[in-house]
Amino acid sequence: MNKIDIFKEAAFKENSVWRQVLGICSALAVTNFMMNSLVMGLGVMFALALSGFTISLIRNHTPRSVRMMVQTLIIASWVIMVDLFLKAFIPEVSKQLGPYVGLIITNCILMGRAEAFAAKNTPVDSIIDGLGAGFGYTFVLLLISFFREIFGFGSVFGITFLGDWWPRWSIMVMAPSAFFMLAILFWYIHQKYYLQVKK
Amino acid sequence: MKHEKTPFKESRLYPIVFMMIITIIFVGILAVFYHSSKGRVQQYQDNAIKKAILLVFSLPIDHIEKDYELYIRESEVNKMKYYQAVKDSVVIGNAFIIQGKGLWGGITGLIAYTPDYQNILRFSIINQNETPGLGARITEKWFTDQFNSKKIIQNNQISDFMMVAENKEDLSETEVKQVTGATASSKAVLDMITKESQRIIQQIKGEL
Repeated sequence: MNKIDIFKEAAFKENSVWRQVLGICSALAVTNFMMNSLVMGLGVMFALALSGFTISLIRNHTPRSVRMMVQTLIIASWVIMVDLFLKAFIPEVSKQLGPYVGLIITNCILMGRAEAFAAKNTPVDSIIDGLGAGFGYTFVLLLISFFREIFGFGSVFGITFLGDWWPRWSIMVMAPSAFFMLAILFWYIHQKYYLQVKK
Repeated sequence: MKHEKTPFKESRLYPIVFMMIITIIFVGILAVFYHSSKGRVQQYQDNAIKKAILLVFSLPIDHIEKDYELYIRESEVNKMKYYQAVKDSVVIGNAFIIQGKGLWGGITGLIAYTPDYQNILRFSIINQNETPGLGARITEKWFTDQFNSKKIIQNNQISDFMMVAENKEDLSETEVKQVTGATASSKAVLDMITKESQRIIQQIKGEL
């Protein structure tokens, strides 16, 4: 499979959120602001690419019986490094994301891609797959947070678009709206792309 | 019968050795990374506190380290640390770090009183874990600025602040506007200010 196809498949066709239903917890939690979603998405993308690369690099030497332990160790190490990097060099962003960065470790997309792709493919392909899956995840997060932020705060990336006349829907900022938005997105995409193909 | 030696990669020992080596490598890399960034992280955290302390006394923050040295004296009373601001040999006030319980987790604030502990000079929030966009709005300037110059002692007692709607006008001395949709977080801030002020002023003055 060529590199562009690997990226496209990981990002859209086999999108981790709407196709594999992975990474839902963070997709619900951080999507009330677009900025939070973007930084979280980039963090996941970076962690996915690097952990995919490392796991793939040692895949021929990793014993099957301990492979998941090895994968968790590698993912955790990369995420802690991302967390430390943010704390030391971009402290404002780190403060805003709070515990979310550390929680990337438990993001199922990382284990999912490690098992499904990195453990069987070359290091370079694994980086591309990681970037693709991370891009797809970021795309979903931004899509949901766009609607939540514009209806909840009247703004996009913190810049106000809807003035004071807009009655801010506080439900859009709270947890329930994340469930509604995610469900609407799933329904729409499955109706439009996947169910059509079946017919 | 001749015993064939199994290759090491297929032996039972291999996964254990492999896991040990990989753990040592990654933990080693992390330890190095942690130690090399530790100083920077610590310095940033110290600076953030110093900046908040300068701001709570409305002092300049152009050169945080220098201004802090110039204006702030760190002291202790009854094992309680506080920060005293002195400008042109006149004590502006005393600031304390205070803590309370928010909706999801702890709230840490900074409160400065006048030297006679009759009024609040200014109040700010250093750390909170409230809902982003709702409860987290307690850090907004309009909310924390409401406490500027408010009387903290009235009739020999700690003032009892009351929450009113965000759009109410003509507030009385004890009324504070709450953040709409975040009653619990707003109340947590008021509780933190009254409870901690009670504790601090009692310790300083010995009675109340």
